[in-house]
Amino acid sequence: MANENIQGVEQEAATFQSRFKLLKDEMQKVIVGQSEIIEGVLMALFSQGHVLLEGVPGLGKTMLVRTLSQAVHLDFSRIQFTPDMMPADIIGTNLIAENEGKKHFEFQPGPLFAHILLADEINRATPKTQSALLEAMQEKHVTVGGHSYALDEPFLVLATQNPLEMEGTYPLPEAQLDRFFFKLLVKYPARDEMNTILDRTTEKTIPTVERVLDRGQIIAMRETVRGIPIAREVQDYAIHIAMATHPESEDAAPMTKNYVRYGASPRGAQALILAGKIYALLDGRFHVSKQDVERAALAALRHRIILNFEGEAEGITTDQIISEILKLGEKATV
Amino acid sequence: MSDLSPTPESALSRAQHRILLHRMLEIFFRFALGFWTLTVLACAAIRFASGHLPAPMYGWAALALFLLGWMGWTAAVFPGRIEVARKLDRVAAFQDRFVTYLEFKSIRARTPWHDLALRQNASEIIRMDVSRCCPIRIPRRTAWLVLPLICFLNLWIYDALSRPVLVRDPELEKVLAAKSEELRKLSDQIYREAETKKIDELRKLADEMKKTAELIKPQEGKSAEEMKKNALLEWSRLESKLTELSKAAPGASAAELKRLAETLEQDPATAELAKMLKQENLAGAMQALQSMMDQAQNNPGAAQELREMAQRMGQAQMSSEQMAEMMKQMRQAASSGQSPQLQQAAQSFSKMLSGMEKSRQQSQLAASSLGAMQMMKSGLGMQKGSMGVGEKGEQKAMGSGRGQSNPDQKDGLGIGSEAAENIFGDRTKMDAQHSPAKVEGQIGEGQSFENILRGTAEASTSTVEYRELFNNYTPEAEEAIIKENIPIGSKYYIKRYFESIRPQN
Repeated sequence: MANENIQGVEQEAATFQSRFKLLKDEMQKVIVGQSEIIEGVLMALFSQGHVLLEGVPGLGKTMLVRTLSQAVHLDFSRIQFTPDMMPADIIGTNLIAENEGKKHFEFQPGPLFAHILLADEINRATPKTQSALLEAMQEKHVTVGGHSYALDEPFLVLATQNPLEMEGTYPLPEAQLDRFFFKLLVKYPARDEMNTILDRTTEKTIPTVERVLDRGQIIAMRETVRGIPIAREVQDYAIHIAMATHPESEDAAPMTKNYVRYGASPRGAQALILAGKIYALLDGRFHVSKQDVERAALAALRHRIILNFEGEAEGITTDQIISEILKLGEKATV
Repeated sequence: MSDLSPTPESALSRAQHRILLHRMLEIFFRFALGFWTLTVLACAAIRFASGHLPAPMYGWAALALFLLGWMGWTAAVFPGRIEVARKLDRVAAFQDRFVTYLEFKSIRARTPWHDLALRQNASEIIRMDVSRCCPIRIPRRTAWLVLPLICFLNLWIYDALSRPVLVRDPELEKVLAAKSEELRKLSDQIYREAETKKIDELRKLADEMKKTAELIKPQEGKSAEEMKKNALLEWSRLESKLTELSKAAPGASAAELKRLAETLEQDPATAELAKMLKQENLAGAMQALQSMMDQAQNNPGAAQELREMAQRMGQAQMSSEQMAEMMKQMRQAASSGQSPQLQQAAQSFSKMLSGMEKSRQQSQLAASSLGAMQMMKSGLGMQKGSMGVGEKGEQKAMGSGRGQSNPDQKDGLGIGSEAAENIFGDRTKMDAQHSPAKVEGQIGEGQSFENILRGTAEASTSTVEYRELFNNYTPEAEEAIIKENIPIGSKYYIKRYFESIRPQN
């Protein structure tokens, strides 16, 4: 019986690995390069998280999200955020409807009610509108007129923002940023990748994506991720990394003490471990290692660290601080 | 039958043993010198605290301390199971397999995931080459350098510790130097005298004194006690020799010479010789005899006088062996009546007188030197006391180092070792009756001056004021942001700025 269970679990892990690869390969039919970004987005999908994509325009952020929605059998909607957008434009609103001569309010769901939501240029909306996403992202339901409406699982918000053209934008508040599982920095493609992009986009045949995963499979894969065990030693290490981002913590790195105002919240440590579990699965292991946690650290913590005035004045990035924390690592005892 | 197949636990044990060995070697080669230095210092402390640490004891103590330190340190830094597992994971890029294995193994309610992880990790751990993960590297260069250093240090320390403790006494050294110089001068004086009088014995004595003067000089590397002991020995030896020389028998006593003079003074020809003998002027006697012998060679009358002198001398009764033998020789020469035999006998007598004269001078000089030395001795501060090398107590004092004083003995050359029991006087009696007295000063007639100096206050931060200030102008700034025509992007930075200068508490 025990052996059967073990075989079942082994099979589950192998299925996860193969499906993840399948989905990634499918997306890479359209998206050239950006392997880490695709991996990060998929990890967020399987960890029940959301992703903030930051990059200059034209790097394929929107394309990536659209490709994902095409590759999985899920509802997709896109919101182009603008300063005049109101929360009701996202969540939905109660409209007066007439039925058999009786008038009543009927909830008209907004674009939020989808499995995959692309919040394009999220920082262009006002904080009021941005905060409309808060409840949805964390609680997976929205409240309109005193009535809560649950969102269908899986629910994945993929927000994009442009690091340039900051004028007329509303940077996301810390509480909003903390809701994102990963913040991924979309980089400019390399020369070879550019060649491939041009080949694919300037020829007659444009690559198409097939749906390779359905909703049920995605939910099953999410369950698989949660099943991976983690040793207390490794979990302590994840906590150590999260605590090291707090300037008042005894684990704090020198750069943290100098340049950080607020460190990562416990959600940061959660993201480290969940991402670590997926890395372990992809690596063919059945437990999380410190290396898995370290691999996830930049994407999981970079948006959760708030620099102080000195840090901003000196142009320090949160990536530099996380890198130093990882470099210092644990105190070697042997 | 034991299961010899490898397990993660056996790998862990192997790794632990290997790390233990590694640690021991590493600590030995890296810190042996330090250990040894500490050991030596500890031994030196024991030695100086106890006053004495015999060589074998030193060796054992050093070895024991060294081993204790080495093993203790190794044990103190020896890692536990989890640390070893962590190390193996790290060095083998094991991705926490070992640590996870140990933890999952201890979980009772394991899920299939745990079991799967355990099975997977165990197979990886068993394949691990512990020797590759825990290499034992002996720092070769250090080893070659450290080992001879340790040996050298050991020998050096051993040698240093086996030497007596050097206690110097500058006062004694000064006194010894002065005495050495005085003795050297005395030896020069005696040597000159010996040269003048051609007395070999005295020349030898002068040499001896010179040597003694050198020996009692303060020497580097010798303790005060040793120098003093040596000086006393040498001094005593020289005094014994001088005493012996001063008592040396001159060959004939004054009474015998007087008796012989009385025998010869009846004859006018030998009256001069008799007179000289009576006065114990042996040099004069020798001259008179020589004159008689010279005359006897050319003058038959004088030869007859010489024969008669020999005859008279032969009749004299002498108690000392030498004089009796001499008189016998004279008697035989006189009875033979032959001139050469008479000359030979007279010559022998003259030689005997010469020897007696030398002996007498030597004795006198030795006595005067002894007197001079005893005068010198007064400066050494060696007369009084129970520890000495006096004439009778010398062997005893040197043997035990502490002799018993004896009122019958002469003053020794030793130094006192006893002190009065109450050298500091009686203790102050704390419970004695006393009455406190208040002594008041009187104000003088001079002018007085009074001034108040105002100092600056200690540096401090006024946090309350800053907070108040911040609370006052922050709302105004926020209002300005809302009302004024400020770009939206810049508003964010203004807000962030105010956030950054917000008081922490």
